[in-house]
Amino acid sequence: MDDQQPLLLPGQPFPPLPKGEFVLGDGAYGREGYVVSDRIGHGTETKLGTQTIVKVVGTQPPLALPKAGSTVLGRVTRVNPRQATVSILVVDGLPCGGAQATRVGASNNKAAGEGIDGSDFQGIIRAQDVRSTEKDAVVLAECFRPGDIVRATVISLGDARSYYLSTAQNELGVVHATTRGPSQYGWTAAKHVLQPMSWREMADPVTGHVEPRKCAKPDWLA
Amino acid sequence: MNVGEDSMAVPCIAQKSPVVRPDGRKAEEPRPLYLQTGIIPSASGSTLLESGHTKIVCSVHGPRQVRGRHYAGKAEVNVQFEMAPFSEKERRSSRDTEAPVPAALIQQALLPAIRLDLLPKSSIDVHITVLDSDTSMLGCAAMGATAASAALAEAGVQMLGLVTGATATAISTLPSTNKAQQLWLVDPTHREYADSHSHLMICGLPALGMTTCYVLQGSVDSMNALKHVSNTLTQVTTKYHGLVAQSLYNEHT
Repeated sequence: MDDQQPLLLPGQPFPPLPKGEFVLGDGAYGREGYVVSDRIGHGTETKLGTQTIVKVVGTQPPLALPKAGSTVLGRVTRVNPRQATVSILVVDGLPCGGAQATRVGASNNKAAGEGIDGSDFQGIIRAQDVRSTEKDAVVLAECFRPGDIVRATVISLGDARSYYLSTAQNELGVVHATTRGPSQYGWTAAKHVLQPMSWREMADPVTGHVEPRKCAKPDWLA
Repeated sequence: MNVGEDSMAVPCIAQKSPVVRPDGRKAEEPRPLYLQTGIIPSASGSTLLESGHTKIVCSVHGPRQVRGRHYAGKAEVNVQFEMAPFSEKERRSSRDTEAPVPAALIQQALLPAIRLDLLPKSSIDVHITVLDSDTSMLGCAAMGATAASAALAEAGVQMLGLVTGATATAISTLPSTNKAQQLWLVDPTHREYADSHSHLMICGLPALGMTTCYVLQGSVDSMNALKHVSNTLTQVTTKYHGLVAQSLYNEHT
């Protein structure tokens, strides 16, 4: 049972809480016996057995940063024989980086979460993390191409510049890829969206051309 | 006798109690405050803050990825403070618009309030631009901290509380006893700042009763007067906190 309360600002304590055992959730912290909000939002109490989880639900989408275990969507930016570099766009269904990402996505020709000045969070998919079978035989150029949208899971925070991502599960991998058909008579050919055919092949539905990818299992395949 | 406006000499202002300032305020009365959030679409959070003839714009960008730094388990805050070339009577050249000292003071005021540990490996960029200035440099820094705090809250950055700041400046008075005496004026105008020699700034989190930045410049004649003006400035920051909170309430309901 959820009980929503009035708007709270950072530093504002919760209204007096009923007696019992409390767990501080997201958006709340304890200070001198009070439960205090740390963002602009509505306080929420959720009963869970004998405990009550106290948290503040923000009036804007929360700042979503990748953390270990998150499922992210990213755009492949660079591929080399050892690893693929990914610009992280979406974290657990939320634009990466919070409110700015939402606003920017609405008014620019960019994906939600894609930075306007190269300030995206960067992840890398190492060759040994692409799939769980035949790790030594992975050729990264046959798994990813620049511009592909991939779904991956965060292994760890990684080093100072990149998060470590993995696509070593059936539902992880390339979810969207495009190819440009052959140009004719000097005209630039249109882009075609590739369709997954198997776990490692994608085909152009217009020309029939087959390209290798590490494909994610489509959502409609239950 | 009141020295004329154009006098180059350091004026000694002879006043009868109570002190009435040129704009009609009392010694411990701040100017009204106007705050508006959400004015810059491309920023995560943004604020316009006006008090008297001082106008400050603040925008917050982030969290962004830190470039080329050592691994950090929590976010870092970068404050950039600029005086627009047209913000004062004498035009500033483009090389002089950036002021590092107020930026460092604002960062010091903000750091205790932000929960940096919740944002690993990221940076939060705060850009503060003074469009019009009718107060001291410390006054711009205090107002910049207030504006930055509202912008950070607007951006969704998790904070322990809202930071507000206030300043005071001391002028010399010559009461009827003919003995020079220090008189502290809260929220000084640029004219009052130019005529004075001692300055005080307090930034804190009024909701938690915490002071995060305390700057005293110049000499102090009376510790009792300093204690009194410190308490007065703390009350002014509490009043500003109420105004900022009211503005955020209006924006979000």
